[in-house]
Amino acid sequence: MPFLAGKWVAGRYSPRPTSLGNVSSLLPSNQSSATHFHSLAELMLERLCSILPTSKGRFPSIKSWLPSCRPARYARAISGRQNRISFCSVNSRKKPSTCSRRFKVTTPTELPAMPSSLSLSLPLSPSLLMQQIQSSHSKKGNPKTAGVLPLTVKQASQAMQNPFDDTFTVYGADINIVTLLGMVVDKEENTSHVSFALDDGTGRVDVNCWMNGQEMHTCKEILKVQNGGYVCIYGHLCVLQGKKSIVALSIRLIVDFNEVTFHFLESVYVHVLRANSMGHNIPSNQIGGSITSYMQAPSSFYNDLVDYTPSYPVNTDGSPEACVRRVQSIFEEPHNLTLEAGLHVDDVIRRMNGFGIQQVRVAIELLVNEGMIYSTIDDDHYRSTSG
Amino acid sequence: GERKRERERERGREGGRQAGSAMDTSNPAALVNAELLKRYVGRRVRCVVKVVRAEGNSAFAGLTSDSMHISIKQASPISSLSQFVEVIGVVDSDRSLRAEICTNFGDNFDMASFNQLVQMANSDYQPLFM
Repeated sequence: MPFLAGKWVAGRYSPRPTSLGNVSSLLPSNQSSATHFHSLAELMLERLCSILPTSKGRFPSIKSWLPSCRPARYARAISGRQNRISFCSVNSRKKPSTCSRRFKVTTPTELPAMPSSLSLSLPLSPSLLMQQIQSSHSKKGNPKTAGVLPLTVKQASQAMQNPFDDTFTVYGADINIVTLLGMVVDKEENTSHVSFALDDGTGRVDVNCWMNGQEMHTCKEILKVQNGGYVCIYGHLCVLQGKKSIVALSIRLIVDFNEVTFHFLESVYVHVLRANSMGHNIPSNQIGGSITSYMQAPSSFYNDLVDYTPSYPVNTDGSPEACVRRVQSIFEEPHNLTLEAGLHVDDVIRRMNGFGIQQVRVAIELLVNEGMIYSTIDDDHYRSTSG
Repeated sequence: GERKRERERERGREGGRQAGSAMDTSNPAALVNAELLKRYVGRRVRCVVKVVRAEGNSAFAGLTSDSMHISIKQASPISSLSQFVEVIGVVDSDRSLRAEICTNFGDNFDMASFNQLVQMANSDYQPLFM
């Protein structure tokens, strides 16, 4: 496991904070990036495999394709031991040569602090982007609320606008910089700005890029972009003329198309991670989150990455005993006592705000074992015995 | 059948021109492999295939990420395509696709990872995509 200049926390490389250096010289050359995204996509799949509690039976082809993947050991790895150690032990099972080859790229010692996504490939206009991240650090006071969030256009369209200011909320936390990947359509160029629509297959979003603040290589990059080309955008979500759109801070042409796979896998990964860490039963369509979920969310998204807690043991909002008691009380409500077939498990889960699906199921099993409830028409319907 | 597909395609094309509108998620193109084609007959999809051989002037046979052969019609000539191509188009049948846009995805594309992504995007995480 190559320990580079920064430190591995929760499987993510976070460089030692330094002053903003000249990052443009540290960019990967095209040769190294060829295998870069291929292996990143594979790594993302491993991570997803390990954190999805239901993945054991679900994606058998992942298991056969990754010969070293053992679900039980992954479960142990994420059971709350020191994150650094656990991810080391996961990764050390792979051949050491491939591991070091994977992470040898790009990361010399002077990378500025970027608490960002797994992607080690930097956008090609680093200084403006870095300035944004740095300024958001100081603004929020908590370096972990900033970050780069990979999204699909569908997810971004569901982001809810905070009522008080211009920022958006996704997964109950403010989002700062988002990254999107898709095809450029309808590009229009002005002297002062470039605008186009980005189509990633899940939707289209307008993107604006103002040229005055950019550096030379960004300008060149933007001019190279053609309709039909794939780009990766780093920017802010904002509302312009009543429509949600993106103000792009950095645009980069895609050359290795494994990055497309990687970007979507990363969005899924981030979604799962967020859903797990909030301890919530967040259905996949409730991405914007409600005000209550915003309140209940622990301090921030990246905090949770650092204190990586798995989904099925105790969550932040309540103990297992509280969960069991609440489930029992739901089953013992007078109305529910009269139902002959009892309650469906999903109904119970929906009512248990603040508890995850796994926890509720565990609670139900416990109650069945104790004889408090029994299953009726099938395994998903239960009824209280005190009816 | 045929007329409905024409209408779908027109709608698809019109949807494509609304560049000035808000975030437009009304016309998504689902990520598919061969197995999922039958679910989206008549609808717009995206599929990455490995070019196998030409079938006439404007069609070719492609190998999908789940290792099945499908036929891509109205495609660019095979000489202009790289080994892996992303085809965005409308599904004709469960083994053929009518291309609207073909994008060269180069010669080094990991189909295995892409296949896993397709499976995820059409099952558990479908709300993130469609």
